[in-house]
Amino acid sequence: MLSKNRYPLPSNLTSNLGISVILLPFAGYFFRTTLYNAPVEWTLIVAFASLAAGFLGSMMGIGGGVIIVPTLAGFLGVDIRLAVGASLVAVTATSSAAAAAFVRDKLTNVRLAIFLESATTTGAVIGVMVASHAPRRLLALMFIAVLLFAAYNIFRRRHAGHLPVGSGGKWENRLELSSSYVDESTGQEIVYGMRHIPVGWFLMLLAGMMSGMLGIGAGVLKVPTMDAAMGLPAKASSATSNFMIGVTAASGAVTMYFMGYVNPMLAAPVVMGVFLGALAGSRLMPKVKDGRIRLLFVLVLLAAATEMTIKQFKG
Amino acid sequence: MENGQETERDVELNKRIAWILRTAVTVAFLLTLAGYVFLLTSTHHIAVSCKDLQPFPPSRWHHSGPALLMTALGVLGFIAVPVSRVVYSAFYFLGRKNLTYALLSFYVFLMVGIGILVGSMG
Repeated sequence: MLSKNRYPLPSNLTSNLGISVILLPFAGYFFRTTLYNAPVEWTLIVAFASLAAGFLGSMMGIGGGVIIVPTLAGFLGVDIRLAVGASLVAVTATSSAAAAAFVRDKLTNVRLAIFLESATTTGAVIGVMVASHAPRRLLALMFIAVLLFAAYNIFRRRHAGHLPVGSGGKWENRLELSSSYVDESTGQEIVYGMRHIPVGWFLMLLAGMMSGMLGIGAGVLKVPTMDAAMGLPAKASSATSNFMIGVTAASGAVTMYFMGYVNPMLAAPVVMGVFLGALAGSRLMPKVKDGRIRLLFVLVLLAAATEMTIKQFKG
Repeated sequence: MENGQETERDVELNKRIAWILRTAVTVAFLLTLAGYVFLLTSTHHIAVSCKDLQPFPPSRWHHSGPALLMTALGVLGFIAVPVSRVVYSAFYFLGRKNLTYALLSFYVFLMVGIGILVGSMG
């Protein structure tokens, strides 16, 4: 009598074979139908640019619009309204995907984020309301100056440590804003406080207003506010900004969505790209030292300032 | 929170928010991926070039196929995630009788709503 298991195949091999047999016809059909379609080319370009944007965005606490909008509108010739719509959705995707990991690792200061979101959302509403009366060119020049000032301050703080608990006085105690996390790059527990809390709230209000008036993500202003003005550790600033940008972008994204400026054919590869990029970035960021994150952020600020300056010269 | 040490309450909040974000974003991603794969395999809905892409207002939704609608729903899911997190925080803090953060969260939700209204009118 032959035993059924006389020559047993390894279970993982049989399961892999089974999966392959099931998936092969679908994969074949997918590649046969899509490889002959032109959209595959631009879908891949969009997905790779979005992957980079999600990666950088999650590492730095910014949305990634600095990469997405120029790629879509400048390089691929997409209608600028559709590019901005896709970029806003990308910000929400980057924020949510990266925040899941950062909140779990306690890098995000949730209470500080909720407190400062009250400023950014208020500022965004004011910004949208006064946008049509605002001198946009002057605002853009102010924005460039702020970016350069922030870059200088963060560069100066590149080796700075964290502030002790209680540095923020009664505001910090009353709102229970101090927090702690384990820094994976050093293995130490970082217990930190913060300073200038009312000033930080006011600067976030201005960041929100800039966001509403200029139609930009305010991540490049939020991180410097928390890092340079409030004295948070670089990782906490980046992770908390990441958590906040999704909420600021959500109202703009919903508006654009129902106005029709979020075309699913464009937005889908963008959000899928940034989602995967943000997952990778959120895994790497805790392992990088604070000083390097700050240096990378300085480069991002300089790139954003350069892009804005070029836009102004082009008119 | 005393001396920077997190209380059990904060740990629980972090865990719950992380779970909500991870689950919601994964669902949105899978829905978008499935919709987009169907979209790419159905030739008649595809724009040949990026420059051919047109706005996609609600008036065009009922002319679209299920693949495009599924993709659109997945994309909308990504937008809804941060807002649902704010609503969850509000109820979480309300349940813990921490009125300061409950009110702040409700205020943020209100501002997001006003932002949508103002943006739609402008």
